[in-house]
Order: sequence, then C-alpha cells, then structure tokens
Amino acid sequence: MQDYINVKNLSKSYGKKDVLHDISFSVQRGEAFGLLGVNGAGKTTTIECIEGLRKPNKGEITICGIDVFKNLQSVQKVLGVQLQSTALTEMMTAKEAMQLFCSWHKVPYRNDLLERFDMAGEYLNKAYASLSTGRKRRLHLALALCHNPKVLILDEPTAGLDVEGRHALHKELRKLKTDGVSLLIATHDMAEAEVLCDTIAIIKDGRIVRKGNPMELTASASIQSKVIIKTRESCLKTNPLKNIDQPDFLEDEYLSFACVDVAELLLTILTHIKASGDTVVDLRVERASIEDIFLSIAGGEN
Amino acid sequence: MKAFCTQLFIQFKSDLRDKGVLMVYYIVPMAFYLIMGSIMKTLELDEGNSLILSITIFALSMSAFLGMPQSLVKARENGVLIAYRVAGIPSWSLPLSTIIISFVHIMIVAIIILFSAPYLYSAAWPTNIMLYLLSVAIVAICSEALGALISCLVKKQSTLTLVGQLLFLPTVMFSGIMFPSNLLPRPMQLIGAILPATQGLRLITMEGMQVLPLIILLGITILTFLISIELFRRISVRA
Repeated sequence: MQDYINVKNLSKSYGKKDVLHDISFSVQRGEAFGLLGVNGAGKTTTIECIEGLRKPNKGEITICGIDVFKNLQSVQKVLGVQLQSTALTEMMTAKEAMQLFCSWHKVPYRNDLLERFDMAGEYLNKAYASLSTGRKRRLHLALALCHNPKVLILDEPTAGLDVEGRHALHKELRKLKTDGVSLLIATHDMAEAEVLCDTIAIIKDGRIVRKGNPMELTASASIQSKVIIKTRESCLKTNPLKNIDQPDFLEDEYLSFACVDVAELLLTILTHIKASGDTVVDLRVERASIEDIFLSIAGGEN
Repeated sequence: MKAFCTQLFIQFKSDLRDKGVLMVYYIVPMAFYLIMGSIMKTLELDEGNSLILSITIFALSMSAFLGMPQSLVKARENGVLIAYRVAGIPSWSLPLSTIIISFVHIMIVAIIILFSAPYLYSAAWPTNIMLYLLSVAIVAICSEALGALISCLVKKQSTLTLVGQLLFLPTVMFSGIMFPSNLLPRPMQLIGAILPATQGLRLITMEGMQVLPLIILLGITILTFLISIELFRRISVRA
C-alpha cells in the first residue's frame, strides 16, 4: 500500500527547547491516523511541520511522495487542512468562502460539499461570524475538501460540537476513509481516536511513546481490564481481599478493580463474596480504553 | 489573477455588510462632511476648493489609519491568514486585497464629496477633475502604505487603535485640514510636514499637481511599502 504521509526522523526545537525528537510515522491510503497527546506534547508542531508552516531542524516529510519543504505548492494540491485556530473574514458567507477557495484551487464551485456538510439552505448566505462553532467547523471541513485532497489533516475536528454534530462528522470522516482519503487527526478526545482511527500514536514530550491500532494498544497495556462490582452487603469494602490491589471506590458503593487476568480476579472476588454470605447486585467487566492507556502514560509510564 | 479578482469582489461585498467598516469608511467621514460643510458655508470660510480637499483628506486618512489596519490585524489575529496559508491561498492576497478594497472605498467617498459639495455647499470645482482624482489617489495610496506599516508593526487590535490615532490625530490637527498650518507653532508645522495629508494639501491645488509634494509622497509610499512587505513576509512565516 502507498504511504500518503511519510514522516521520517522529525526533530524541531524552538531556541534551546527541543519540542520534537526523532518522530517517524507513515499513513497509508484510506487510513485514519490519530495523534494523541496533552497540551505541549508536540502534536501541533508535528502537524504544522507536515503542513509546511514550520521547518524542522531535522527530518523529512513527504505527502503522496512530494517533499513538503521542496514543493509546498504541489503538496497543497493534494492536502486539505482543517485547523481549530483558523477563521474566515467575519462577514464572508459560506457561499462566498466556497467560491474563494474553489477559485484559488482552480476547481468549479462545490455546492455539493456545502450540501453534504449541511451548510447549504439557510446557512449558505449567513455571515461567518453568525455561525455556531459546529457550523464553522463543518464549513472549514467542506472548504478543506473543495479540491478533492488525498490527505486531510484535522486538528480537534469535533471540539465544541454537540453529540449529533459529532456523529454526523464521524460518519463523513468514515466515508472519506472509504473513498481513499488519508486522515491525520490530532485530538484530545480519546473516545474519538478509538472509534475513528486505525492507528494511534501517543506523543509525550515530543516523542512517540506508543503506536499501534487501538486494540493493540489496549492489549499491550499493563492495565488491561476493569472489574466494576457492587454487592448487597459491601463485603469487599468491609472485608477487603488480600493479595489483590486495592480497588477504586466509585459512587453508589461500586468498586473498580484493575487487573491483567480477568478470569482469575473474577474467580477470587466471587469466591470471597460467596464465603462472606454476600450477593452480587451489579457486575461489569470493561476492557481498558485508550484513555486508560493515555492516562497511565501521561502519569509517567513510558 | 481570476482567483484574486474573485477575492477582491468577495471582500468588497462582505465589507459592505460590515457595520464597522461602513462606519469608518463611509458614515463618520460623511457625517463630518455634512457638519463641516454646513459650518463652512454658514461662516463663509470656504476658499476655493478647501472644503472638498479637507473633507476628502480627512476621510482617506481615517480609512487608511483606522479602518484598513484594523481589518488586517483582525484577520491575522482571528486566524484568517493561517486559514489561507494552509489552504494554499497566497498570504499576500489578504493584505493586498484589503488595501485595494480600502482604496476603492476611499475613492468612492472622494467622488461622492467631489460631486456633491458644489451643489450642497457651493464649493468650487477643481479645474481638472481627472488630475484632482489622480492626486487624491496618490495621497490615498501613500496613507495606505503607512496604514499597512502600522498593521505589520502592531500585533493586537487593542494596541492598534491607539497607534492609529497617533497618526490620525496629528493628521487632523497639524496638516491644515482644520485650520491653516502656518498658524501652528514651528515644531507642530515640522511634524505636520511629514504627514501624507499635509503633502496632499500642497499637492492638490486648483491649478494642478505640484512636483515637490509628489516626490515626497512617492518617497514615503515606496519606503513604507517596502518595509511593510518585509515585515509581512516575516509575520506570515510566523503565523
């Protein structure tokens, strides 16, 4: 499969501060690649280097085989970008914005995209300043796609959107993937990364500390699953289990045990409950999420 | 070129929907024109074409020092410049379209004043209308060059208003728009001499265009545009 994005040994520093250390990854055709990290981890700098906005101190970046720093204009023909921090002139309408972007990309006016992102009809002639955050985001996404890019970079694509808006946007992004568009998504939203991305890279202090598909990442974690339980007499609280890590005390008398071997833990807990003469009111087993992995990494584990 | 023309057309249309833009480019200058015109007519202060000239230079200075830089800094601060850059729209297209459309607004106001003042306030017509309009255009471009420089030097909108006033107020006070500059103390006359409005008043006379003010205005324009282009290049790399 062809690599649509290829980042090799990317390093960047601002003055004496190193912000990226030897970052390497590739994104294939139709793949969604998620960059996860806390603020200041290096996500934005990585994305800005890929967009050609910043020049790295070291490393190579190609988009569809084109060197970003040698031929940015050609890269911009195959690259669409939707950033969180961008805006349009306040009184420009969605229709005018599409006319503007299409004319610079030398493509016919794309009303189909405005319709697809629900920006036609009543929103078509509304001033940009009067649109809600969600509508602005839809418009920017439509504009980013006006020249049918092969690669789409999205920075926090669903920040500020309501549930309905998120679902609609996720649906569109999945459709783009099936059309062969590669997505590079920088996000804080772990759940979004988990459902949308084929590959996730977690960045910490300018380094990729974990990379893999969501299943691989959760399976490789030292904390694999959680057993959440509530008993009638709260015997697990009054008479704690020995040789097992202390649980987290949740609301409404629930306890949460983290474990690697679910079967062994369940057997131990249920045996203990039976021996105490207690009964189970509620029991759930949850697989570790990307958020758990992220938190364990952010908390210091590498 | 076609894309840039589309951008100019869109910017002009969206400017006309913007209350802030209308206020700075049209409403305040026209209100000033109506008030000053009435006062000058009542007091019979108008000598030759001073009403048309004074109001036009007031309007273009306001647009160039307060209106145009505000649009540019706001666009930069809000992320319009970066939106254009990542979309492959040339960075220069944003300031250039803003400057050109601002110039169009200025010329519209200048033409309204030129053609209405003789009827409303019995102001004298310039002997050569085309030469007069060319002179106004030169002063407008020079003032816009200074406005562009301000917009490159100032990062925030809040500071910009103050800096814009630092150019606009001396323009109103020392250039001779409000009262003859030879009545001012010598230091103020010297400050006034480096302002485009002062040179503009000397450039545009009933007889035609004067050479020395023209050279000074062209010199200021070229110098400030060159500095602005270099500063903007640095800004757009950082944006």
